[in-house]
Amino acid sequence: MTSLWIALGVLHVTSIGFALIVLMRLYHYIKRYRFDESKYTLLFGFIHLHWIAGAYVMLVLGWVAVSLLIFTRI
Amino acid sequence: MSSLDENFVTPVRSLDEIEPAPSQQAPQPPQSAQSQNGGLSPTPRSPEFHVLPEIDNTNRNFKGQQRNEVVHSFCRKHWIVLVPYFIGAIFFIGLPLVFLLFVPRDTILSLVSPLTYRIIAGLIFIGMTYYFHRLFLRFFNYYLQVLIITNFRVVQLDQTLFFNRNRDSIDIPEIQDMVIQQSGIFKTILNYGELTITLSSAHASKSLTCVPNPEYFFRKINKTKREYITSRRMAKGIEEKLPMTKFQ
Repeated sequence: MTSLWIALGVLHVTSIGFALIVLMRLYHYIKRYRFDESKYTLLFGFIHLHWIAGAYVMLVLGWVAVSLLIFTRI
Repeated sequence: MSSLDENFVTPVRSLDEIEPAPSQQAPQPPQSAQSQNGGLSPTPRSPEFHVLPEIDNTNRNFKGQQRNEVVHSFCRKHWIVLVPYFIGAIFFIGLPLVFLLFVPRDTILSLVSPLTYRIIAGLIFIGMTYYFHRLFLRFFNYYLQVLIITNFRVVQLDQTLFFNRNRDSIDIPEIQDMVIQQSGIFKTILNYGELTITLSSAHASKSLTCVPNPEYFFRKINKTKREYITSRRMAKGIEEKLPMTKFQ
């Protein structure tokens, strides 16, 4: 059981680290490319890139919590 | 002239007093020739990059933007390109999550051994984490892939966060012809399509796929090209002759 917990920990540390790298690169891009967004350019007309980045952070952390919850049931 | 008449005489002013000299006028926003004179008069026009020579737009909106380059319009691909990823998310994230959360443990253990169950659960975790990141990377890449129309060129930025950094630029004078292809029920209902640009150079054509509202961009590129040609003529000192000139 301990080895599975270690594997889960490694998985999530890698996941969070990857998410941080992605966000760093994304905001590096946002600094270089500045466009005046409108409802014609956003996804579905209203979804900003910052919202998706926020959702990404929330869901990466949420997935850690959910997976720990599920793992206690196994 | 009586004193009464003198009160009603408007003093004559010179033209310079009524209208300031061109150098004293505030800079006007660029207007198309049709909005100025209804497209009938052959009066000289002021294209955008003659009006805005002082503004330095270098790298203002995107990397590689030139000094006098003004972004007219830009777009990303239609959201239809993300639909396969939404469907994939249901299968690769939703269904395993339901399986792990709502199927009783005893039911699964009656079918497989505990070790096998843990291995399967571990693989599901790895697969879900992978697909989860992949889904969001696809969203981010969607925002990175941009089609830009400037007064000089059409730029297609086809880059991703990690692997691609492709940039394709078509100069406006190189554009010979454009074709909109919008065939199929989804393309007509959701209003997206393919914009094929035929070039005058050795590269025969360039296709831009999944362009939202392709007719708008078709008109926009045509208008930009007209403005470019007009400005080139103005720069060379050739007065444009419009067909209605003889009726004025």
